[in-house]
Amino acid sequence: MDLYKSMMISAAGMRAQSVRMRVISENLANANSTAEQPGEEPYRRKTVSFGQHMDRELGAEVVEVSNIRHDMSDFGREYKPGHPAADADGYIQTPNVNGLVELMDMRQAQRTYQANMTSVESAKSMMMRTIDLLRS
Amino acid sequence: MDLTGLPIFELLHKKMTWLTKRQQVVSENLANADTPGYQTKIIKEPDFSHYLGGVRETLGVATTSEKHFDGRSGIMGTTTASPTQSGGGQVSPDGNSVNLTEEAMKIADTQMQYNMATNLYKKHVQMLRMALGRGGG
Repeated sequence: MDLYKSMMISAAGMRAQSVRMRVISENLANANSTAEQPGEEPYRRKTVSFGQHMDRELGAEVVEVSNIRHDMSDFGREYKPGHPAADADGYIQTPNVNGLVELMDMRQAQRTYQANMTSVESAKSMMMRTIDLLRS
Repeated sequence: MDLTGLPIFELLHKKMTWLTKRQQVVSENLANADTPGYQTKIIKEPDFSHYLGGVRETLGVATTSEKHFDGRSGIMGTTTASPTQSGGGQVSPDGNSVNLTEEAMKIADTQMQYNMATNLYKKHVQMLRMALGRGGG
């Protein structure tokens, strides 16, 4: 049934956005995770990319998280001579997580999730209307 | 009795099938709202004009001056304005062309039209019941 199908497509979209939310939380939680020893790397920001996937059972193209990669941009540097991971000059490397970027990503994930939710609700109400025809 | 034999039920059936399909296409667009390179999918509008046959022409009122409204074109021709494709050509840097607002409008529209179709269906079933003399009207 097509309405059920459209609900499943929206569900796939919501699932993908949940994975994105999880990665964003991971990034934010580790925004201050530095290395434990000099020479080691601090936490590296993770990014999510979406791709299309043909669901043969459903007969429709659904969205899925195609892969989770690492953001290879430069780490920050901070002067902390007392830190266990400080190098000879007294600097430590800080994670390449930018709170603002994560916040914006989070907002976008939220909006798309809401849009999918609206779609599910709409499909549901259409289904209910059809069932109501039996009662008239 | 096969209800789809009656033109109104056949029409409503077709309309509802199309609206269901449209809902699916819109869901697909929304689910892929953040997929890089995804192009918005559009479903073709159905054409029911041939069902109307010769009654397409609306009756106007007699006019004695060209400044009179003839009842067909509407005030200052507002009803004859052709619909424009809204929001077209907005593509984000990652190549995604889904416009959330436009899709939301489509959802609302689909739902309204579906409600109308189901209500019309109900009304016609009621009319048939009335004709059968078993109440319902």
